[in-house]
Parts: sequence; C-alpha cells; structure tokens
Amino acid sequence: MFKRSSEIRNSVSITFEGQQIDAEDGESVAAALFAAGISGFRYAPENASLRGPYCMIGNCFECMVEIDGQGGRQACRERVRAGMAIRRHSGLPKPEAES
Amino acid sequence: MTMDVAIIGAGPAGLSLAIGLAKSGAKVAIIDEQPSPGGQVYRAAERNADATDLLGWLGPDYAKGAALVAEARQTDGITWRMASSVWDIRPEEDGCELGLLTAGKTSVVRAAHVVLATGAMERPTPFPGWTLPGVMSIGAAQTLFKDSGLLPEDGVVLAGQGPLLYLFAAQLLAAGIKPQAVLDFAPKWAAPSNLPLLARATLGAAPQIAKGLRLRAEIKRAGIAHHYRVERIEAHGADALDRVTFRHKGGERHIETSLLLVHDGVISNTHASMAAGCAHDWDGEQAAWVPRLDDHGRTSRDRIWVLGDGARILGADAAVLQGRIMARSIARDLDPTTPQDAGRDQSDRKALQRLATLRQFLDRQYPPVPAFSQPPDETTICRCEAVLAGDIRALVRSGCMGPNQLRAFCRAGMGPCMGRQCGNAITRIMAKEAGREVSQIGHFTIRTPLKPVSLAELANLEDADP
Repeated sequence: MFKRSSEIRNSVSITFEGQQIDAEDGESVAAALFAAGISGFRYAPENASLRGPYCMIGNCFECMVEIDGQGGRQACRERVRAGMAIRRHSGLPKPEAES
Repeated sequence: MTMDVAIIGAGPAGLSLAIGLAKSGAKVAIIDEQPSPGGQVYRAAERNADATDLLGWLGPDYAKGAALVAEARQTDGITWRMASSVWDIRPEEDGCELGLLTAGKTSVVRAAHVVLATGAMERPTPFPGWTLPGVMSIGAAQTLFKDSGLLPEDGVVLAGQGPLLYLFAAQLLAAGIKPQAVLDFAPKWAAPSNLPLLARATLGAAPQIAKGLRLRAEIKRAGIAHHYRVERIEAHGADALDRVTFRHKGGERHIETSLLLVHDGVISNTHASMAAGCAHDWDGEQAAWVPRLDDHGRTSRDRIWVLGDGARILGADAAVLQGRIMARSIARDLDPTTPQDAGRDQSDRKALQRLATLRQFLDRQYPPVPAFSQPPDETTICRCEAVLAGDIRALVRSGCMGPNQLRAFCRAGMGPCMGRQCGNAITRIMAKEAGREVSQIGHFTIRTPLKPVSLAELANLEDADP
C-alpha cells in the first residue's frame, strides 16, 4: 500500500498487536503502521468493521489506536517513541485499558 | 500566559499574521496541533528543508514554505505552542481564554484577541465502501508523503476532481510512482459558460492556470489512464480494499487495487469558529459554511477573528496576503495611534483580488461531485456512529427538521470526530431530501471540548500565567 522513499535513519522498535515493528523515531504512529503494511487501525464500535486513517489531519478519528494501554489516541498525531505498545482500538469497554 | 493575540493554526495565514504582529510589537502566541509550523500545505517544511529528493518531487510551491517558516522562527516576540490542541475557546469580558492540551497536560492561554487560522479540510467524499481500510483522501496520502516520506505503491488509483488530483498525480510521477488510473469526475475542458471567467482568471493568475495544464500534460505523457467525466465509484473488499468499480461512458468497469485516494476539493474548517459561537453563512459557490466576517476578518463575536482558508477557500498565497492585512488591522485595534498603511493595504488587496478570481473559476469548474453529494442509501455518512445516507433520508421523511434534531434521533455527528467529517455531507443530504435550501437546514451546533480531553488531563490543569 505505502512504502518508504528512504531508509529508516533512527530506527526504534515498537509493537502492534504484540508484533515487533521497526519505525523511524518521531514519525507519526500512522506512518509507522502503514510502512509496516498495516491498514486496519481500529474496529468501529457500532458494527465492528475494520477502519483505517482517512484524513491524516486530526479530523476524522478513524486512526484511533490504543497506545501503552491508553485508548482513543490519534495515530496521525501521536509520534513514535521506542518501546511503544500499540493495539487496535476496539471502542468497546475494556476495563484493563481504563486505568 | 497572557498575550495580546493568540493565533490558532501555524499555516501560511497564521505565520504571516504572527510575523506582522510581532514586528509591530505585539505579544503573540501561535498554537498548532503539529510539532512544527507550516500547516497542512507546508507540513514538515522545516524538517524537509534539506531533503533534496522530496523537495524535487513535491515541487517549488511546497519548497517555498520553508522560507516563510524560517522567517517566522527568526522573528522575535512570537511564543510557539506547537503539538498543542485547543479544546476550549471561552470569550471573556476583556478578551478570550483558550484551553490547551499539550502532551497530556492542560493549560490556559489568555489573549486580548484570538485569531482562528484553522485552514481547510477536504470535503467529505461519501460513496459505497469508502470506510474500508485502503480508501483515504488524497490530502491524507500527501500528508504521509510530506510528513514521513511515505509513497503509495505502484497501482494506486486516484479519484475525484480538482487541482489537488492533478498535483498529487504529478508529484507521484516525479517520485517514480505510476498510478494505475486517474478517475476524474470533472469534464476535461471548461464549459462555454465558464470561459469568460477562465479568461479573467488567466489574466490575473496565468502561472497557476499554466501549472494546471502542465500537470495534466504530465499525467498524459506518463501514459496513465485518465478517465474524464466518471459518474460514480464504489470500493470493495472484506477487511480492506481490493477492488474499485466505476461507471464511465455508460459502462461499469473495475480495477484491482489496495489503495484508492479520493478528493473533492477543500472547504473551510469551521469547527473552532462554530464552537466559539461565531455566526456562519452557507456559501453557495464553495458549497460550505463560512464564518460571517467584516472586511478586516472580524467575526460576529467581539475580539475573535478568522483568517485564511478557514474564512473562505482562497489558498496559501492568499492566506499570506490576508495575514499581512490583518496584522495591520489588529495592530490598530491594539493601539489606535498606529499609523495607517493604506498603500500596502491596497496593493495586498489587489493581489488578493486576482487570486479570488482564480478561485471563482476553480469553484465553478469543480463544483462538488454529485455522486458524493447525494450518495446511495447504503453509504455510510457518519463514519463514527455508522449512520447511513438512507437512515438520514428516512428521518427527514419522518419530519426531522435539521442536523441537531438528527443527532438526537440517530447519533450522527456525536462520535469522536464531533461531526467534523460528516457535517457538510449531512447538511446537503438533508436539504435535498427535504427539498429546502441548505441555509434553511442549518449546521450542527458545535460545543466544547473541541477535542477529547480526559478527566486526568483536566486534573493536570496548570495555569501558565507567569
């Protein structure tokens, strides 16, 4: 779907749904996931359909993911840090994510 | 933190205004959600200042953003609040209070004047299947390109209409990416009725018109299938896009692809001006809500101003001119003894008029795509709450009077995006179904918080007053 136009310069390791991904330090989380071939970022709570980023400017909220246990993070705005654990946002109540 | 002027949005409009005001001696804060200035049009301009490859692919109109950002950075007296969301705009007696959210901490900025330079957003493009991963806006893909150097892979399909469709196709070709097809909803040439306006636009903005023709020639030279007058598209796939079907010249056709990028022009991003309680009017030429402004950019709310594409779509070059003009207006409001600079005002306004004529031509050449304005019933309109076009039409038929009542009936516009993405589409669908003017249907009432803010973040409120 998307590919990098140049090699990663400052590589850090993050995870998506437990899978390890190499990413550019400080790039948007959305870019890191796209570059790793991931397009489905969340499940819509209304009908459980898989969704991915649509606008990339913070408007549509389709890129919401869970980062280090915190839900509702906009992947287009959050920046990659080493060790980030990212999961799909389900939108459904998840007690362990609320703390 | 108490300022003379707080500017929301560090795109060309906000930067130009900040430079002008700071030079006149005002205390200015500029706030933006992105980590670095430039707005969407000059996104990541600082970081890309030396990225020769990327600058070459994106072209000179992007490259010039770095100079504007650098000028602002070198201007004394500008307080930068980057990577910050504004979640509250509260008019007070002697100014305005803004609630900010920066890295999980909330804070307050007070200013005598607030300027909303929140720019443009892409018009929503609802069509069957557009919620599938792998379907996104052309602007979104361009943002990934500017911000992260990410390129769509060969085989990407571009659809929709307008200058950005041609620009992005040409940018991809420059970067060595071959789109599989360009599905253009617009006719190839201007209608005879639009030719007088084209002539006037060409007189005032010849380089821009020439650029448009050159971009189209590049698509043709590269041998890309460029279909004009496409009538409708649909995206298909189970959990992600794998196929696009489209109607062209009376026949149904299909293309296999994992990435479909769509664009139907841009509209003013009025979320903040609506939340601030400013009056808005429906602009028929741009098919969008715009804030009601006086000649200087003052809204109906005291001490709140709107500038740039957030006021009406005129583009980045116009935003810079408007920023200069507004800087002089606000400087005189802050200190009435500031001398008038009628000569500069006049020459800036003249240049602005030329760009307004160009925009008028573009607005008429690329009115909203009918297939996206009135999509079939099974199309998702409110992506957050999964409300379909058919749900909205059924509610209108049963007597629902406007978007705010619609919200109560089916939750459209009540998800995390708060109606940003669907508001324009919902208003137009309701108007058509009800057989009324859009201006009679109205728009969602927007309330604060403007962005989701958690109780923990609110509890972290720090008063940034020195």
